[in-house]
Amino acid sequence: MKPIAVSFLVFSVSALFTFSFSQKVVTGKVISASNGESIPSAAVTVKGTTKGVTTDMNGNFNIEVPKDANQLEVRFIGYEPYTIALGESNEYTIKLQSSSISLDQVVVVGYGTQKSKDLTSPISVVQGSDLSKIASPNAAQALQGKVAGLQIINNGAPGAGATVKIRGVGSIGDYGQPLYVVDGMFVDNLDFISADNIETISVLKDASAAAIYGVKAANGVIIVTTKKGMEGRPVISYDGSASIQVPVNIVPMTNKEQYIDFWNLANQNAIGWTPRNPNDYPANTNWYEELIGPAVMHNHSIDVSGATENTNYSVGLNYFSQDGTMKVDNNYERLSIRGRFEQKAAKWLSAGASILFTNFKKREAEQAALRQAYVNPPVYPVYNSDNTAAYPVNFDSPQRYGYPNAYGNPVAAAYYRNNRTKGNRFLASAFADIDIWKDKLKFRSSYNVDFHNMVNFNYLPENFVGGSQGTSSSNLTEKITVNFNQIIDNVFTYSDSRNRHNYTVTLGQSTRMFKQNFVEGTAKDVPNTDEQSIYLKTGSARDRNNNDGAEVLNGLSAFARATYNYGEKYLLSATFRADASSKYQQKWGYFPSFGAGWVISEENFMKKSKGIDFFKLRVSWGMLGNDNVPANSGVALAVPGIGSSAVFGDNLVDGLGQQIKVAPNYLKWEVVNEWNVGLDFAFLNRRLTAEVDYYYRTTDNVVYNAPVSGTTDELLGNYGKVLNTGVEFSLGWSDHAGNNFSYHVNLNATTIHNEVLELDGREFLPGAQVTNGYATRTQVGHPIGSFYGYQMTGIVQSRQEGDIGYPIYLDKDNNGITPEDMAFLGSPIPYLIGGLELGCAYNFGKKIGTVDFGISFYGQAGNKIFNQKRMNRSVFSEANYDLNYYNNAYTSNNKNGIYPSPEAFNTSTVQQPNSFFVEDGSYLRIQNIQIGYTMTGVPKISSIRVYISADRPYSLFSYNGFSPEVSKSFNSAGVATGSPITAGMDNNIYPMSAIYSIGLKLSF
Amino acid sequence: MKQYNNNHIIAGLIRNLFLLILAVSTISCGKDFLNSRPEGTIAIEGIDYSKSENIFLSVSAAYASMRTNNAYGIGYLACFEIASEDADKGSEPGDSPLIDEIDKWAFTSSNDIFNQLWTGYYSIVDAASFAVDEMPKYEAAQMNEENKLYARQCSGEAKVIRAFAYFSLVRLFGYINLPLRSDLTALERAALPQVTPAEVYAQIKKDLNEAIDVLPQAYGKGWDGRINRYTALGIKAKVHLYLNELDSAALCAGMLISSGKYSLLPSFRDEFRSVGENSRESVFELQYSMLGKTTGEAALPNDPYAFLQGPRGNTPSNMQGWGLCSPSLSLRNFFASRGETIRAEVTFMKTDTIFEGSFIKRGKDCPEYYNGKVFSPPDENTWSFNGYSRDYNIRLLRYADILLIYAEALVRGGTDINGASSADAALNTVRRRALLNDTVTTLQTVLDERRAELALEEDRFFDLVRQGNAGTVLGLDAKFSSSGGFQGYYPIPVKQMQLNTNLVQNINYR
Repeated sequence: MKPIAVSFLVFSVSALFTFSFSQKVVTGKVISASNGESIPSAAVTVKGTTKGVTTDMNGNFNIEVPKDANQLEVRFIGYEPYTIALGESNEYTIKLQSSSISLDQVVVVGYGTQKSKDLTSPISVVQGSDLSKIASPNAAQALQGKVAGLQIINNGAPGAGATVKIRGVGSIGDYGQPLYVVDGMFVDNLDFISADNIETISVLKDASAAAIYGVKAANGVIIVTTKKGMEGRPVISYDGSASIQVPVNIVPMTNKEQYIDFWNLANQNAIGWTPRNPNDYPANTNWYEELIGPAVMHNHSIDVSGATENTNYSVGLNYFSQDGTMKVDNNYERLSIRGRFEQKAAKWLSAGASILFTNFKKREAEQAALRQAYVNPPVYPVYNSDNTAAYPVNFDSPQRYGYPNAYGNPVAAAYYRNNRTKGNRFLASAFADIDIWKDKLKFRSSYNVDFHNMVNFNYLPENFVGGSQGTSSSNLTEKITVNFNQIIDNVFTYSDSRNRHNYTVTLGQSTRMFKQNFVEGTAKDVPNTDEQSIYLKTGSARDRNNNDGAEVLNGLSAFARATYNYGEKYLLSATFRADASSKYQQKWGYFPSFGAGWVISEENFMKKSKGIDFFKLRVSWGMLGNDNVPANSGVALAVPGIGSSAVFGDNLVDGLGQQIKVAPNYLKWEVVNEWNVGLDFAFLNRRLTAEVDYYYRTTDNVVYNAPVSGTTDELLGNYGKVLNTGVEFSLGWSDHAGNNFSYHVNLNATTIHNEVLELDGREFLPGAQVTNGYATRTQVGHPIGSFYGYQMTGIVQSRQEGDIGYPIYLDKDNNGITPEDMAFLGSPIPYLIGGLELGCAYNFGKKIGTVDFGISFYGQAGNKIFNQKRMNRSVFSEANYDLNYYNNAYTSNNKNGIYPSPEAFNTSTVQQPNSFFVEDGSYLRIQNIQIGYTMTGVPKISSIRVYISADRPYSLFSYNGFSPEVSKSFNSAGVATGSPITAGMDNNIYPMSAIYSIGLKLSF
Repeated sequence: MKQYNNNHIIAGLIRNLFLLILAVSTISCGKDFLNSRPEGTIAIEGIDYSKSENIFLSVSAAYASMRTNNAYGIGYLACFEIASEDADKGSEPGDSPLIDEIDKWAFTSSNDIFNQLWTGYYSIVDAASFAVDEMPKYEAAQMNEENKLYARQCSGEAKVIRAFAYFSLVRLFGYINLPLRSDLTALERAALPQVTPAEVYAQIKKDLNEAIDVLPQAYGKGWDGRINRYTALGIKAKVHLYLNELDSAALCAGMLISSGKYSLLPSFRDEFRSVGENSRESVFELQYSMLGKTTGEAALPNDPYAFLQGPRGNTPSNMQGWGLCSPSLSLRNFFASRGETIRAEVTFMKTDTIFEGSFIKRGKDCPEYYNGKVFSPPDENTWSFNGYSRDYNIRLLRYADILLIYAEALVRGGTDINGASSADAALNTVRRRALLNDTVTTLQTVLDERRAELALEEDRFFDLVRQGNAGTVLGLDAKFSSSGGFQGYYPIPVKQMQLNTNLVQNINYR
């Protein structure tokens, strides 16, 4: 609706070299519309040329204008550009509006654009220039804290994407990702796009706005428009930064003495126990220190863009490189080439194309090494020449100290793994706009392609460390993935106005064809001479295996939208979309929406009230579908392969099993229903702006993968109805103090109330399988995936109460501890998410330039995290302890300890879902601090900006983990897995990094 | 103005062209545009029931469903053997706390091992039920009588697999669900009633009887270990013994004895070597095979049964395992008191000595003895990773067991109407191979013989339960005194109680 932040950067004070053949002189004064003060150093140019001047200290200007010129443009930082239509007069007073509110801003909505002030639904717009201020690998990460209602959960691994949730958790299944539309193409993430390539991002939050995308839009839509040229002189710009990433908040673990102390306490009653002595172990190793350290990252973009009356172009080159923070070869590198071209070929036709080609290369570190660093005892060294069995490197092995094979040397695990991925992504679209009838009836046809391929080599060379760590023959898995996705859109738009009636009707049709194929092969004994040798064909001819697979998704849609306003005072909109998807057994779904707005400030009674510049009331309702579920999952399939084949002696007999051991089930559309009521305000000469939205969103026929009784299977079904409701609030204040100092404050906050309303007659659905139970439960009247387990009320202190050091669980019914005593222990969904941004700039005058400062905060409150890392002792019973546990565990020396004793900790009495593992996940973080200096008046350069910034330098949280941002659960290898029901299950062991950068932006 | 009109016409043409392209592209995708089935899959509906070579497909999958860690891995060792007085958890003191809890009878119903067993055996039930449900479709679609007969016979195999899985489930948990259809919906499953052990046993006997009617006595070459009529009879003999139905137990066991197809191998050791697999002594074996490979996919689970019991901390890497299920002092004393020689040598693998030509090193804090029955020599351990004894077939039921069932049924007062053999003959056949003197059959001599002959073969715990001795022998009556002594069952897994709220916890664990 408005840009969330005033951008200090959105300025293109043109370099002013005037070679005049002037015919007349125009003079004037530039003042601020809000306070009437004059604006010095504002740029005044003849539109469409490079000719221009700047205003003097009193805001006055004097420019020579060619006779045929009919427009002047005035620009200044923090203000909306203003265009003067030159008439008879040669003297003008120009009032610039602060750019924090821009009601005439054109907002990209689905299959079209609308003026911000005419919208009936909440759409947030973020400028690309704001995103590129944040040092982040991709655009999605940079969005964090910028938009009310948007929850972004970042991950620290190099090149890793972010989890994005709009307005809470709508789906129970892992299908709650919003739709991303990049220049018309549907994509699954923004990982491949640098923030530097982006012109704007529109976030369609409510159902009424998103309904035009029907089937894909149940969880909101994020529309990305890549940069295009601005009319005027060609602009050449460079944007670069160099950063250092410093891992932060690494969980402190116990040292050798502390660990052995607890090992002895844990096992003192075990059969065959003999006390261990720390002096018998050769080292005191901090595994995280051995594995993790600072790493560099840098980013460079060059863009050239421009436009004339009939042509608009923009091309760019971006290079991004990020080293991982693991102390082995791990990194991510991305090169992208971007081009966008649009030509008005005839009065009735303009055509264009855009491409975004991305080439990336990454080498991923073995995340299992981080898991090993968490569990491995600190008692042995990284290297040990006494371990003569180890080769080629003399790593030491935990097996030499009697540890089971589940433990492996973390550094060795990271060192040997060679996991490289190379890929290309080609996003292209071509379109034609046809003016069928006098600017009124237009037709646009576009063809969009997303072609991406990836080759992954996952190689483990021959090596031996100890126990089962190592392999006597090297092994390679090579996997090639090819995606080819196409969308064809055809849209008619008719817009007209008569008297004060303005209306637009859009009719369209869309066809989607998505296909993914993969082929993979494995081989043994692949020589490790160099990268050129690591191929399947160089391996042994024996023991080669191969596999393949594909996924096809097709969709057909027809849609219509009508918007109407009367004098930009009364606003109405309606959309309808019919969608068919090959994913569901029920093919067609129908999704209507309506919206209405009343610009009260346009009413006569309001026009008189001073201080209120704009006041709009909006109401909208809409329905959305969600086909972001696994294709045809309700179909019962036969399963071939060795797992379905009997063996008699050594004779394998082919068999065919049943995949889903239940009847095929009929999958219906997951449907979202959403009401939104909102208010937009602008007060005090538009210095204060506010936006408040109340949303009430229900999801019906929720598709969820539920565990099936008596099996290890899970099955997709339509299992119920979920509510998300809350208030979104953004407030902006932007002002100037004196002529040279401007400042702004932006605040946004979102509340989320999540509740399961129906479960298809079931009492509850268990989720999040952990070793000894289900850690979450989805039940009517509670948030999705709430934590569920026993409530620990204390620690047994005396023999009479039970086993000393064991937890006391609340016995609700006084009949001993039974499953009936379990209770809800909180939810992973925060009830409050908020961001705060403060910025100011001081203009030292034309000769020196402007200094700006900004700081932003992000936080969330009310969510709980299940500390699953601590729940590993059924498998890793001799694992290291985190220091927080060590300091707070009950022992004979620490009878005030509030955690179960080391002995109890290893038993299933503790290692089952209970409140000991559930911790508060609230946090507050400094998202970004930035100081920049913008020089103007440098010959031949229109602007230079240098800045230093710190991203995520400090986070405040009480949770005992690496980061309170828990997006997904991770399996023992550290790979993200599982459904959203496991949203707050924290098994994450990849530390987040603070990023410190210096950057330079230049434009010519 | 004329110019404009021309443009207008061109615009119209182009528009139509776009629509045409669109229409063509849509039509060319064909009628299946919205009906795409998952790629690379076979739909159940697509199976051709008229092809005779397809008949065995689902039965094959039922056999394969038994090869899981859940059913025959850690849980199998823990609840069928380690829980008894004959075996300890093994491994190191701090390792595998979940098994340790079962060894000490200090578990909660949340202990995941119970859930692994539950889902492991129900997966077998489901795969077998799928085969049982598929066979009538083949029978109907097949043209010739021989193939129809084959479909009925295959159905018998699946029923034996199902009955055997239920036999494990009912012994473990007693009061369980009894799904018999493969087309149950998730909701129907979650609402299955809890049935009594008697109802489960009735179904087991029904399945076995139906199987016995249709199964052949033997198969040709290449079908080693395939379920035949005697497999079904042998299982049924054991089921009857557990139910104290002595005449029937004797009758069924007697039919194996009089068939002449089974005998004990002359060497006790050979029965547990690879030469003993699918031998004349084998009634039912779970088949594990490396398929002649050294890596990749093989017909065995990740951490197979014998590998789990391999000597921990031993070298080289193909001669080590997890070190679980170590023979207890009680068992070794029992063998010593009987003067066991052959069976003691085979059953107890002592560390820091040479066992069958291989020196076995005792791992740090690890047990002194391991299960020698599952030993396999280095030259057979060719798997490239964790190679110890991977393809060891689990001896689920062997002829020695049948002889002892026969002897016990008779000595308890049962009658074999066919008079296949005598209690003494059956018992002493087993004793002679162990180089023990003949003895007169009493209930105690038979039960002691079972303990010695079947030691560490996952028979002991439920043998005690069956005799009503588990409570006293293992001291469980005192432990469960508040609920009236040990009732013979493990707890229903908490996870399953959450998935099916009809399940009520067994009495000891409420």
